[in-house]
Amino acid sequence: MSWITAKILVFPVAQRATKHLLFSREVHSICINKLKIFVPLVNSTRGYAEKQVYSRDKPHCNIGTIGHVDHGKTTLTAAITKVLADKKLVSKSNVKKYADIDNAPEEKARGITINVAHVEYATVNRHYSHTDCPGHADYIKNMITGTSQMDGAILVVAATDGAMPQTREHLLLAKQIGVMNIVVFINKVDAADEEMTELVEMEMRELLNEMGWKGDEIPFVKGSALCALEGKQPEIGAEAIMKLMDEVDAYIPQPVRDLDKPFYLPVEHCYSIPGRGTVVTGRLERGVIKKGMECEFIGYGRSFKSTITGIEMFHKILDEAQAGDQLGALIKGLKRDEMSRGLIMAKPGTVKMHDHFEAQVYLLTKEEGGKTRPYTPWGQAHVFSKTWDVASKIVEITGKEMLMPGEDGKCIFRLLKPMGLEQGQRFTLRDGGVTSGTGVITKILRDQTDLERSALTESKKRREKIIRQIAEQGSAAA
Amino acid sequence: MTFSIPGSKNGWIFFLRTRVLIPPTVSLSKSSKMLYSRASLLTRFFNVSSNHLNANKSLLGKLRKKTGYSFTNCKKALELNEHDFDKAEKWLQEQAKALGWAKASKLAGRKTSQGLISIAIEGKHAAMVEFNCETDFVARNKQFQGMAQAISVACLNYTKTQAQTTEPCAKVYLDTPQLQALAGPDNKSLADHVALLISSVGENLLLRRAACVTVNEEHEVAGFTHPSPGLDQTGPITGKFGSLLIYKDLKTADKQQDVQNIAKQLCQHVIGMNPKSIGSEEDSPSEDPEEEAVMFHQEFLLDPSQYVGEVITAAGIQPVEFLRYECGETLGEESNEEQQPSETQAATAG
Repeated sequence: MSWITAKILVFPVAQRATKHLLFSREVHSICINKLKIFVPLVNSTRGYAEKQVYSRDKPHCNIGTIGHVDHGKTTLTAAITKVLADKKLVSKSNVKKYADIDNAPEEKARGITINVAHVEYATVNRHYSHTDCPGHADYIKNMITGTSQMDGAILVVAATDGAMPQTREHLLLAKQIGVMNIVVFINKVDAADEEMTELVEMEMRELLNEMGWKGDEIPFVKGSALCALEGKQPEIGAEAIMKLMDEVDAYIPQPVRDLDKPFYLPVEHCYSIPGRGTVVTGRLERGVIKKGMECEFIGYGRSFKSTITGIEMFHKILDEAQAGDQLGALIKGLKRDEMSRGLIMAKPGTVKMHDHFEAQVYLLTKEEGGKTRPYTPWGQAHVFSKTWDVASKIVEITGKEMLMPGEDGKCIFRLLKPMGLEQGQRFTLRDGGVTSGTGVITKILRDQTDLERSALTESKKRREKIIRQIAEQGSAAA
Repeated sequence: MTFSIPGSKNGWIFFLRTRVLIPPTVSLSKSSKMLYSRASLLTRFFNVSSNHLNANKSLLGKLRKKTGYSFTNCKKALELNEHDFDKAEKWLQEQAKALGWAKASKLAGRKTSQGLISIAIEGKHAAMVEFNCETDFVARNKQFQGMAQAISVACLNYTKTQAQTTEPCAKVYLDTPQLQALAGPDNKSLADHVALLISSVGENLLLRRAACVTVNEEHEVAGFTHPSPGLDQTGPITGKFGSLLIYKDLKTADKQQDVQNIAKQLCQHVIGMNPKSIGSEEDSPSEDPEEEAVMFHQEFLLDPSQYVGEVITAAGIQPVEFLRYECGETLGEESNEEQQPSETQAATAG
């Protein structure tokens, strides 16, 4: 009897395990992921899958497709979901049809309309969020609002056409939105012959080199998304898609998880609790904090060190808090008056104060709730980021005389006070009670001198005088 | 006459090296592919039978590189011309127009909401055109920019043929069919040029509208586009927004230079603040300064501490009229635009 029970219980599981061991290609990943592959499969047989639970068993990665409108970006996205679903890596309900993706739904992120399709799927190794946009401006908006920063991209090019004149612009965009790694998919090989495909690859590698990418190292996969979608010619269809995803798994590096970064907490409120000391509250954005850890507070031109002597969450004492937790931290030896909202509590030395940076900015249109007026150089802009806000001036708009609502551009910001900020941090611009724009810091510039800072609050004439003075000093020093 | 050095392509490169006297120390890493294609081209003459396939392959690559037409078309050209490079190239040039038109008719009807405004000004004549494409990637492309500039030049040439006017300014608006019929560079119609570009970028393109302006002796015309092109761009200016300002120089300012500068800045103001009319002192200012639509009473874009009225008085400029184009903006009579005569097309004020 017990043997029969064991047989019923063990055999299907054992069968699956052997299947996986046999059919999975990478031996090393099996060792790591054996258990992880197992669990969802056993779960799936239980049959109460109306609402799926997002399981965090695989590392997450954001990728996207770029390329010419007719080269099959959408077909490829649809094909990836289909092929991965056939491999039982994605549930059937996640399979997207061409039409579902093509009508890139308008997403409203922070009030900004973006034409974007987000699709999710998973390979054996990773969980992916896939972004597809029709235009340059949409990718920029997507990057700025931070709904999903792209870690890598698949560049789609048709073997029948080769690189298009605007492929250069696609590659420039990828650089601009911070994509460091590209995998190229040569599509429509069913409609081309081998020599054409080879020439397209040669041409693309040359172009990639010319545009400053490592053209000789970038992986190329040749196939036909249409064949994969229709289930024809598996060697250029489904197998090519699997090969593409293997390359994406291997070539696009794993982004560092927030949990593994040094801790970072923007202070929301501070309280003085008699008999215990000062408590700061806020959401721990990154890392892990433990009782007794050293910390540093920075912002508004000031910085001071302290020690975390206690952590509380929901009125309960914790030994350790992780990224994502809303918590209160008891701080040693600091007065309530010294603390304020907008300070950053971080691991000492990991966050610095700056008052001069370059940012990619998008201005909301009137329809999105923005202003009708453009920003011109030396325009006033109030910057809101994390829990702080500070007055600032947009002193320069790179390559433009002004920034119209609905436009994006690179702007140089000068803050009236140095704040704790870093590259990649996102912020909002507000003006007269209206959210006028949003941006992301792309580069930290050197701190301002006192003279430069004084120019920020002066009228146009006095300001120009000060700028001349600075220029003279500069030339004298040189 | 057989030079058949048996062996690999390197043999041929070596052969070439000796022929063209490249010192063997010169690195071939970058140019080797090019040399290889040349080498296999030579094999075509010397050793056709053994290396036939390779020769064809590099021919295709060479044809593509030289002409820039899609691989499919290059291949077709070679097949139809028995792999004769010169004939194939000639065939492609001849067929380009037909291929372009075929592609154009295939893509016609796809929505074109991106593109460029281009302005060409010469003396008393000015032309402002809108040229549309599907994605902003193409709008950023040099080829597309060049075409937009060529269109504005074609319109400017057309403007010059118009009779001189006694009015402060004479305006002619052109719509899509009229623009298509205009002669572009090389005596080909603009429609043909656009068809060629369509086959190159693979997107639907549209010659949407144009305004041709001629002013009389006493008046001047200034233009501005935003975002203004970089300093490296020569010829007509391009951008997503464009504006023309017709003005009279009252000659009260000290320097001619300043007047032209202020006129440009006023054009920028028109783009940025989108006034509905120029107005004058007699108009009463709007109650809400944010909603002010009369240019005279608007805060000056480049120095909000001044009003436009003050700026133009100080500079001795009398603006007469302005035109403002925004790329992809919906026009009043969009639905029947195609059949409508041109006068409904421009948002004018004055």
